[in-house]
Amino acid sequence: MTARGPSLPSAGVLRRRALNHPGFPIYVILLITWCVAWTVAPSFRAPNNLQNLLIQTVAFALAGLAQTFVILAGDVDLSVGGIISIVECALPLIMRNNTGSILLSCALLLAFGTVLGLLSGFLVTRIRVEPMVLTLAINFSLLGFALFLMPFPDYSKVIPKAFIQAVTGKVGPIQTAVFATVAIAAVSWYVIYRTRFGLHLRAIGADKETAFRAGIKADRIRIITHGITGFLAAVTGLFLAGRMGTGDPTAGANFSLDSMTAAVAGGTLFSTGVGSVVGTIGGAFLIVILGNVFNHLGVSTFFQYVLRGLLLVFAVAAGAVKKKYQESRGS
Amino acid sequence: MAEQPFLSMRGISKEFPGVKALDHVDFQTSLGSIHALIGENGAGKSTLIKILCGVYQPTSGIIELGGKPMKATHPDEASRLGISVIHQELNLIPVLSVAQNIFLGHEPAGALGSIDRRTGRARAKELLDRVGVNVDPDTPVKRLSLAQKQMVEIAKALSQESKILVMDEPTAALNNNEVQKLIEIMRGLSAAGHGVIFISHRLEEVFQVCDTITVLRDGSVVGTRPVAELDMAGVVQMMTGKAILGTRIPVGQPPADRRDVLEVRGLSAKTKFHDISLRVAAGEIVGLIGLEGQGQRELLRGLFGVLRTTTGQVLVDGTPVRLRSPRDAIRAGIIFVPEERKSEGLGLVLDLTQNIALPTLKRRQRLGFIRLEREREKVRSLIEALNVNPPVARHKANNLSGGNQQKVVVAKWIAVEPKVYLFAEPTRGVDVGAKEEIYQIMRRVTDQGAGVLMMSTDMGELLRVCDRILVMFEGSIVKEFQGTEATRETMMKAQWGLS
Repeated sequence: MTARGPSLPSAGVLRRRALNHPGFPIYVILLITWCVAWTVAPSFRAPNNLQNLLIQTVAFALAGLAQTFVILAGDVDLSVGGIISIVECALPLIMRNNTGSILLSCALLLAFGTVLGLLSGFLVTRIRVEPMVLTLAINFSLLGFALFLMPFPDYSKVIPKAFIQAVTGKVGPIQTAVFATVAIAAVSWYVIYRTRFGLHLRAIGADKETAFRAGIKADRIRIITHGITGFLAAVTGLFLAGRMGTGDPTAGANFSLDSMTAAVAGGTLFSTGVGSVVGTIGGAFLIVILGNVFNHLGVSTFFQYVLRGLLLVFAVAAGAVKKKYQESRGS
Repeated sequence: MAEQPFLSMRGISKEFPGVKALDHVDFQTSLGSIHALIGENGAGKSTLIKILCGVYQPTSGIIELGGKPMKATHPDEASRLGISVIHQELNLIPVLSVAQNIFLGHEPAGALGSIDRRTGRARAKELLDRVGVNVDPDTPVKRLSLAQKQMVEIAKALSQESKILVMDEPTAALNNNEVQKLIEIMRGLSAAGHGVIFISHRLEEVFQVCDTITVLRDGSVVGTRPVAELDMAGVVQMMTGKAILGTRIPVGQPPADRRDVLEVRGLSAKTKFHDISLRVAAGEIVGLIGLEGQGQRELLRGLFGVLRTTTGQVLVDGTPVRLRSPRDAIRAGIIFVPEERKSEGLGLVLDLTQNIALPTLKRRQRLGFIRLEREREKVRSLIEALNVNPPVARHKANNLSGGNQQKVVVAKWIAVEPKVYLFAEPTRGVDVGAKEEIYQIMRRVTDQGAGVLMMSTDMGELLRVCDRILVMFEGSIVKEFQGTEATRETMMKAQWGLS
């Protein structure tokens, strides 16, 4: 093997890379689910359903990306839902109907989410508490505070039209938010897989001790990673508020766990440094498709939860089986 | 040595609470030299290396590097100053590529916080060529063989422009071809002007590749000599010295008709040990010794059903038994007192009663309820018999000293009335007085008709306690001694695979 410039890898190499990609299984599952849904639910085939699916995926994808960052760094952040809720409820209270206020409110809330994330990161690394316990506790406080800000979806406190239009606007048949999500995913991919920061983050997630011995400032990177998670959670909150037209103190709560479902179903593994941005998007899409199909088929919400749990088990098991298979083949 | 030493450690002492690990150690080496650092287990080699690479701070003494005093308080600082250690357990991240691992922490920077991957790949290739290993820098490390991983570690050390490379038992897990390759690389490194410190348990390799040997014993330097002036027997003598033996505990009196409580026939476990046959008679204490990683630990774990064995047979009291889990082993009458008593032997937050009563709860229960008065009685008698101090059944296990914890572990198993006791390092971290008592307890259980198989790295202990001693080397039993006729020298030679 000689050193050579970037040339196109052969088809075989590409196939192997695709099969080894952590995000591969989720797309197989997606394809199967899609085909089943297409056959069994006639209304699934309705032309505007795809648009609907895409816009619903946005929030899960953004929250899933937020979670992917921390999981890759070896932590977990269960306060994602709390941050989403509080941003969502604060937005109608502070945003006034002029461009300056709209921009300022967004900036303020994004900064607020980031600071909350940084704070979790700081506490996790400095006090050395278990991230799961700490962020769960923070999540409860934030959800409580969101209820205090807005005890119920209050349509008397309306979000300015201009902001709603910015969030729900379309380019051709597809919403701007979908494009924005793709852009955010692309930037996330770049940060995780092409920057030193991303490499260090994955190294810490795989093996803290080795990363530390290589001179990586592990604590700092973990704190910043939690900050990114907080930022992305705040983005999710802004988006949801814009879609709803006002705040909803309970809409965010489920995202703490759903974000994990999206990331894990998408092939991101705990404490290995293995993960996939594309996989997380796939995981988010799967959550939405399943909900959509069940709605079309008239499955009750209760069973939807049961099935969503089973899906997570299935996705995790599929990943484990794939890993075992590859190890047995020694590749 | 004619030239000025590049690395000079002078008067290094290191004390841990209650132990003097290093006592005024002098160690010097120059660039271009391959210098062996050898000694028994616990002689102080790893402590010295940990001080050199900044993991520990010496209690006293100075280190000079290239004529300047050096102070490293963190491994990263030491590596920046030019000292790299290639550990036995490798410091590589399996999911990252070879190039990413080599430059981890000091990647060539590109625009926008990115990594200049082209430069990285090219430089990685260059370094890999220098150590003579042909792997693609983009391969994830998890796909490499152990030998290749070691080469990558060396390349990583070279990327930091290390002057001194410490190799801590690099050959322990390699096959012969790979060892030869590594030896070539070490020669290449020394020819290129690096200083290599080689820690090994394999004397043949030491003699093949090193130019100087420093022998440590009990935390002191016995001597530093050029290889040409030494032979293997001389080195073994330096390592063992004239150690003072404690008095022997009385040899067990095997019953007139020898009855094997444990018989192992041709037992093997994938890559860990092979074709092990041994017998332990009622009333007998049999010792098991070997250098680090020769399969002795795994053998005990295999006999306790923790490690899967592939072929062979185990008989307890003449009856063949299947050992697929510790539960099977305990049922068959085999118990194991592990080395890691804190994590594997005791519930630290449980009190003594709970710890001791745990394996035998069933015997004292009626309708699913534990008959506490019986339990208390049994526990009290065991605590008394084994002289656990303080003899308070309500004390939590983590408040006891190491020796007393060990007694509690033994007590809990005595209650099961096993036929075979397996011990791993029974007195590690135990003070002298408690050691004696543990030996007495071993003798007592064998006098009552059980057999003991104990693994230890402490030769003095085995010589004092065992009726017979088995030596393991590279996964096989290579030698058997009668306890009364073994000496440190003969045992040491057998352990190094020399006799």
